[in-house]
Amino acid sequence: MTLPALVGLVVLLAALVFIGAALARLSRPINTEGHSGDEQLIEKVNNLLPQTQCAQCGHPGCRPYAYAIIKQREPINRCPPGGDRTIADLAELLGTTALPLDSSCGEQKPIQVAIIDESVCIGCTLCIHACPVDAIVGAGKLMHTVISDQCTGCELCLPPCPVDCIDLVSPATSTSDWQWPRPA
Amino acid sequence: MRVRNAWRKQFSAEKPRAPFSFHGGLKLDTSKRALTRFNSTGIKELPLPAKLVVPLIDYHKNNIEPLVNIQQTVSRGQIIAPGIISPAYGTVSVIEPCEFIHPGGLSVNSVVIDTHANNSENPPVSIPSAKAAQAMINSFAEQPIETLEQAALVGLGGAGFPTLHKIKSANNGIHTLIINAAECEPEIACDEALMLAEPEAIALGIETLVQLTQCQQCIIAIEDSKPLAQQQLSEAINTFDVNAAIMTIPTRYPTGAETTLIEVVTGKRLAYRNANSPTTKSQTTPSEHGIVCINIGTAHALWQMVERNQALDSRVVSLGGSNMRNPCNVRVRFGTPVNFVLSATDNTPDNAHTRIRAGGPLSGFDLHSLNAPITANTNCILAEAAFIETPAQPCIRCGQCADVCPVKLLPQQLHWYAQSEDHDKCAQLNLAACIECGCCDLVCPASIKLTETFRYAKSTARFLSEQNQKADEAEQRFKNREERLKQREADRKAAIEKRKQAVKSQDKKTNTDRIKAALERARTKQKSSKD
Ligand code: SF4
Ligand code: SF4
Ligand code: SF4
Repeated sequence: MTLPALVGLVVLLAALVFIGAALARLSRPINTEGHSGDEQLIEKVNNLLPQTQCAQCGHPGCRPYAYAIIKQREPINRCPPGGDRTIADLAELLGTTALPLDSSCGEQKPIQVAIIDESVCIGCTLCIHACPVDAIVGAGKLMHTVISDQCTGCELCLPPCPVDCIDLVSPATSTSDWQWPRPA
Repeated sequence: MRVRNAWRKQFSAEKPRAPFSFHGGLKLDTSKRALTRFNSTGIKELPLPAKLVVPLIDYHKNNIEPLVNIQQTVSRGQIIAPGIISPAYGTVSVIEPCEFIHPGGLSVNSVVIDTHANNSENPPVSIPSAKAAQAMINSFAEQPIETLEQAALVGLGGAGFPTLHKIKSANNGIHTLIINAAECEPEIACDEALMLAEPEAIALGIETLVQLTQCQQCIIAIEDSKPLAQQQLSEAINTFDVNAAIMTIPTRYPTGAETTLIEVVTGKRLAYRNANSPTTKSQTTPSEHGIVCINIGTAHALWQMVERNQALDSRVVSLGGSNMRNPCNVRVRFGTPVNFVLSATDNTPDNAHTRIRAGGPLSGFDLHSLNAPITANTNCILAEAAFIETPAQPCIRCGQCADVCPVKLLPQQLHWYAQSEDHDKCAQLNLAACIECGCCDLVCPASIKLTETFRYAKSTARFLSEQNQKADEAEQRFKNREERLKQREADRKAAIEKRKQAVKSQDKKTNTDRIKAALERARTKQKSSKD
């Protein structure tokens, strides 16, 4: 074998090794941190969640749950306020099968809003701190009230209230959100 | 004015065009029951009830705040909330949620007025000479258009859109003014009755509209099933030299619907905005095309404003239906409860099975309560026999529903997707454009409740999009709160760190000095307390 042929072979081998390494690098599961495709998917999942921010799914809000669904393979059936409709939407988006709602997280309830019995409220501000969506207004030692339009009915303000003056009620149907009954 | 007069001559010489046609629609039996007694009774004037109930909602069904207080005396025509006037002289007794005419039997905040005994009567509209009338109209048209606000004019065709908004929203001027005298739904005859009873007032109202809107042409569209009304109106139009042409259009439901009527009169279908996007596709409004449609009842009301400065506070209502003992047309003051209308005309239902409905036989719905008050939108009250439901059969794909749909929708497909709650697909198939006319229902051989399903799907889609918007807002507030909490935590940490640094940076000597000083202080304190 001549020298030039040997050199050529070595160069060829080196090139093959290099290409192989590059291919191996490319085919490796991409480290997900900060990858924009996942970010978009999280955003999409988050858009389908009801934004009640009730933490019943075991995550401190809807976006963290969306993050967990994508990054930690958390099941999609853990959101009680969203119920079957949300599960179906998520399954369609992610190409998986819809599961029944995980009852350990809670039951789906009709839409409700919190209401503070203003004559009993002692103005301790604890509920204000608990509300994830800033729907309670009030100041120390003064009566508090719920902005019913902004309340998501997450129930997080109930446990902290020392005088048990917060109730959840179904909101009065307004003309703008009334729906025709579904024909049988 | 002289220019206008010259133009007028030219215009009235123009021959009225033949009407165009529209897709679908149905020929219905319009031998109107409510009109059967017109010759003997005319339009009945109802007495004023002791209580009037005025719902505080606007065209979009949003609540509005009252401008009056309880116990306040209000005069007839006084503005009691933005866009709403008091229909009579009286005292506000309460402002509370009251039932109103709504398919779900909902209540809205309403002003209840106890009417006073010495209320002014409704004298018949006086008709001046042609010359005097022109002078009145001219001076009225010279006032700023905002004067119309006091007239509280809204469309009397059934939807109740504020007339002033309609006129003002045509930014590029009004090319064609269409006066809607079609009234195509069986049983409803209030417009026809008005044309027979007071054609002069209508003609003068139309002339006022022509002058107010400065339109280039005005066409009055009347169905060919109303020859007598047409004749009366056309005589009045000649007498007062009104700048309008009458167009006789074929009697075919739903030609009276705004979009269909525009198609019939101008030959144009209103285009869609963003036609290629299923989510933002929407119909352009007539005023964007320089077209305004106004009901003849509204024209009549405008003449009352010109002639005696009277705001719109009553309307003609047709009473009909198979169980209505005395079908007739009555002029009812707004706020009059339905049961008062029925009892005053000797129509109180004599058995519990009679269904009292508001609106026409196709577009209307059953009333939950007879306490609900008549408003500008109530063109018809029907008393019908108990409803016998025909169970729906599976669709046989005959395609008749699509043939009759005046909006060229595909009801069969829409029904499929609406039933499976696929709202995106419904939006793509343009469900929002459905005018809920009920034609598809009428022809369906399988008795499928198409229109009902569409009403349901439309309201649900609206509800869901509202929920979505609320969710977005909640998310924003949640984000803001997270930011705030993070910031607060960071501030707290920074403060602790700062204090730590401060302690560290002080040298030992000063620290021991401070301890000494503190001990000294404590000692003196002890001493002084012992003394
Ligand atoms: S369970 Fe509550 S916090 Fe979790 S995703 Fe559903 S609404 Fe959001
Ligand atoms: S109800 Fe809607 S879908 Fe049916 S014919 Fe009328 S416009 Fe078309
Ligand atoms: S008319 Fe009724 S049966 Fe015929 S295609 Fe339409 S929905 Fe089906």
